Amino acid sequence: MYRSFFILLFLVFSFSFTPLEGNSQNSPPTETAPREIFITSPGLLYDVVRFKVKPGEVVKITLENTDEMSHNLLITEPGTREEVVSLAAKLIGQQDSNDFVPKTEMVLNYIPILKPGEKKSIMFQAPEEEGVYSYVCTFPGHGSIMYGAIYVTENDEMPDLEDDPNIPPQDKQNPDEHMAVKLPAIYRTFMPDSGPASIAVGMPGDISYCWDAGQCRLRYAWQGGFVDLEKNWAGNGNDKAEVVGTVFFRDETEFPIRIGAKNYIPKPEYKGYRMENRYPSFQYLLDEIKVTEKITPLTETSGFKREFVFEHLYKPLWFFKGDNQVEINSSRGKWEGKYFKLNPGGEETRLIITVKNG
Amino acid sequence: MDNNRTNRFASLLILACFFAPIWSCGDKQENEEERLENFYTIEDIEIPEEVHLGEVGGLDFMPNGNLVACFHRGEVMVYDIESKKWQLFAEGLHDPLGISAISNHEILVMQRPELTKLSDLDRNGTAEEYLKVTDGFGLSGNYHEFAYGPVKDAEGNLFISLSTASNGAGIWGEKRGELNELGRPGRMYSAVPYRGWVMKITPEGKIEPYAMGFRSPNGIGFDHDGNLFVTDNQGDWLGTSKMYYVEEGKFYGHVSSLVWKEGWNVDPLTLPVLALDSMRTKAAILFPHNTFSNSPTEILPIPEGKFGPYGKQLLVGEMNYPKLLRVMLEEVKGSFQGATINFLDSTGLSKGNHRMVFGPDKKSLYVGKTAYTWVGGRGIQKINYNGGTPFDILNMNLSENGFKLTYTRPLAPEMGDQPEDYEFVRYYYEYHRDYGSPKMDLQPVKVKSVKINDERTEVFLELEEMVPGYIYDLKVNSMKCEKGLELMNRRIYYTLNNIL
Repeated sequence: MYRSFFILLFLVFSFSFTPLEGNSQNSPPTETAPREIFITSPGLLYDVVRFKVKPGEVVKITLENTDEMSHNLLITEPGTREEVVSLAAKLIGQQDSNDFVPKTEMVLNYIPILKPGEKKSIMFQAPEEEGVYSYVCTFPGHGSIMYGAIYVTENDEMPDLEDDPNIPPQDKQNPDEHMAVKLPAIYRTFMPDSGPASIAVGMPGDISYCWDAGQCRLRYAWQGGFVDLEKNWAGNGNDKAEVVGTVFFRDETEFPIRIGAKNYIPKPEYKGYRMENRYPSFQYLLDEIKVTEKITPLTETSGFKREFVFEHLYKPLWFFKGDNQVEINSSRGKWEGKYFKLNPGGEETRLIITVKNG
Repeated sequence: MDNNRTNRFASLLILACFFAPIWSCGDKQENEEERLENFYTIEDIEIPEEVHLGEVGGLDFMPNGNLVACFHRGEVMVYDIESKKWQLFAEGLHDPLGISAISNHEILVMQRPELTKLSDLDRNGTAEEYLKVTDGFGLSGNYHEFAYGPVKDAEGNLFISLSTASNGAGIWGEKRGELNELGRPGRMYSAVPYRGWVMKITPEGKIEPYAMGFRSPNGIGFDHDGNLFVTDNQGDWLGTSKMYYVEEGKFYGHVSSLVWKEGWNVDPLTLPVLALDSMRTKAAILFPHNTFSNSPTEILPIPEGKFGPYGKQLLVGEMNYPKLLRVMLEEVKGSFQGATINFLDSTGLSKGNHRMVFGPDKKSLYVGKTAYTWVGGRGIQKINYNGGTPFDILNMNLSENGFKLTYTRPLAPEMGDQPEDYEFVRYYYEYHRDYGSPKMDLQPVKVKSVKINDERTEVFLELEEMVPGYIYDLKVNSMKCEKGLELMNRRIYYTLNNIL
C-alpha cells in the first residue's frame, strides 16, 4: 500500500498573499520520514490555510514567522478554536513565559510564540477520530483571523476553498469593482523599473506613464491599461504596482536634457505638480532653470506629447532621444544626430515632443 | 488572580449598561449617577464608499471646523461634522501617514516620499497644487520606511519622524539618497539618509537632522508645554514599546541610524552593547509589551477642563488593543518620567487606534484606525465626553520612599487604605540587539505602609525598595469611591528612571 506523495497547490488570489493548501495523494516518499507541512506567516495570516492528514498519520509541522509580529500555532479539537482563543486572551497580563497556550485538553499540540524570523517544528500525530481540527495563533488579537484547518480524513474530500467555513474568509476580488478609476488619474506609488519616488499617470486612450520624482524625468510609457495596485494596497506597501499593458517607450539615457553643453547634465530638483483638468503639470528645476512638463495623450493616433516650458533659459539646451523614436516640431532648433538642439528663448522657451505608439 | 478581577470588573461594566442604577448604591440622585456611568460614549463616523479600506493615516481639523483625514490608498477627504458629508480634497498620494491643516484650503500631508503642501487655489474644495515642502531624506524602496508627522512647534518649525527599513524585505537597486553600507546590517536598518531620525523643517523649508535612534516612531507630538515626545515600537533594541522626550542631537537607542551622525564611520552593530547603552537617552515611559501595549501610536495632549479630569496629561493611541493609553509625566532630577494606564479599555472603542484629534469643542475625540496587515482596525470613531468625573487613578507620583496615588474621587470608607490593597512587582527590559525582551529580574515589592489624606483622594504608598531603572507595575485591589462607583482602571505602570 502506497501512501501519499505530497504536493503543494498554489491557489492564486487577488490579494497580497497566496494561500497554500497542503494536499495528499496516494504514495509515501519513504516509509520512515513523515511529510512536512511548512507554514509561514506573511502578515496576520498563515500562508497554508488548510491541509489533509490520515487518522493516526504523523506529520512534521513547521512554522516560520516571516512577519514583523510574534505568532504561535495551537492545534485544537474540532469546534473549539474560538473557545481556545478566548481562554488564551485571559492569559494577557500574566508572565510572558506562557506563550498564550491555555491549559486545556482542547489544545492537542502547539508551536510556542515565535519572534519575527524564528522557525520551529513539531511532530504531530493526527487523532484516530476523523474531523476538521483547527490551528490558530493565540497571540492577543490574532485568533479571530489567523487560523487554518486540518482535515483528518480517510478520503480526499474537502469543500471548495471559497466555500470552506473552517478557514478565514478569503478576500475575493470583484472584477467590476477593481480599479474603477476615472481617467486621467494619478497615483504616487512603488513602480517597477523606476526610483522609489515614482508617479503613475493613466490617461484616456489607455496610454499611461511612469514619471520619476526622484530624477525628474519620464521613465516609460505603456498602452493597454493603467496600473494594478491591489497588492500594494492590501499589503503593507511592499508590493510594487503592476503595469497593465505593453511598454512602448522607455528612456534609458543617462538624462535626456543637457543645458549649456551637450554633455552637461543639469542637477534636477523636484518641486511638485499642479493639476489641470486632472492632468498633472510637473514642476522642477534643472540647475537654476525652472521647468514645467505636461504630458497628454495624442488625439489623432495612439501616443502622447510632452510639453515643456523652460523659464529664463539663456543657454542652448539639448534633448537627447537615445534609442526612442520621437518627433519635434520647433522653429527654434534642429536635430544633431540623436540630440535636438534648442536655442534659448529667454523668459519662456517652449518645446513639444511627440511620441507615437508603433 | 488578576484575570478573575478583570472578568468581574468586565461583568460589572456589562451589567451596569443594562441596570444603570445599580451603581448609584442607594444614592438618591439617581439621574446624576446614571449620567456618570456614561462619562464617555463612542460612535462610528461613516466613511465614504470611495475609501475602500478606510485605513486612516492622519486626522486634523481645519480652522472652519471641518475634519480632514488621509487614507491608506492616498485620498485626502474633508468631513463636515455638522452635515456629515465627505468631500474629496486630494488623491493619489503614496502611503500618507500624517496630516496637518494650515488653513481651510491648505493642508500639509506626510506621504512616503515627501512632505507635501496641498493647496485649493480656486477654493472649489479640491486641491490643484501638490507642492513639495521637503524630500530631504532617503528612500531605499523598502516598505518599512514609513514617514510620520508633521507636528509644529511654537516657532513654526515642523517635525517629522522616519522609520527604519525591515530585513523582511530588501532594498532596490535604484534608491533616492546615498547608500551607506554601514547602516545596512541588522534586523531593522538605515541604509539611506536619516532613516530612524526625527527631522526638523524650518519655516524657510530647510530640513535638518534633529535626533536619532528610532526604530518605527509612529507617534510624534508635543505636550501642553511644547515638549516634543515620540513613541517607538518594541523590536530589536527595544525590549518593549516606549515614549521618549526628544531633544536635539540625542540618541535614543536603535543603533542603525547612528551611521548618519556627522563623522560616524563604523558599523554600530560592531560596538559593545555597553558602549551603545551609555550613549543613549532612556525613554520617559515604557509600555510593557503584551501586558499593556504592543503598538503605541500618536501622542496627543488632553485639553484642560473639557474631556474629563485628565487635562494636560497625554493620550497615546494603541493599534493592537481596543483602548487608548493615558500618560502622566513628572520631572524628576531634570528628566521626564511617569506612569501610564488604560483609557477607555473595553468600552466599545475598536482596535487599530492610530491617529487622534480633538474636535473644535474639545469635548470630543476623533480616532482614526489602521491595520496595515497587522492587528488593527478601520474607520473613524468619535468619543464624546458627557461630563462628570469617572472614578479613576488620576495621577501617580514619585515620593520619598514610594509613590503617591491621586484618585479622581474620594475613596469609600475602609477602602484602598491598606497595604494589601496594593500589589507591586518590578522588572526591567534588556537593552540588546535581540527582538524584544522578557521581563528581567521580576520581583514583588512589599508595600510597608499606606497613608491616606483627610479627603480620601490621595494615598501615600511606602515601599520596601525603590530601585531606579525598573518599571514599578502596580495592581490595585477592586475598590469603590464614596459614591459607589467601581475603580475604572486597576493596573498602572511607573517608569522609575530616577528616585528622589
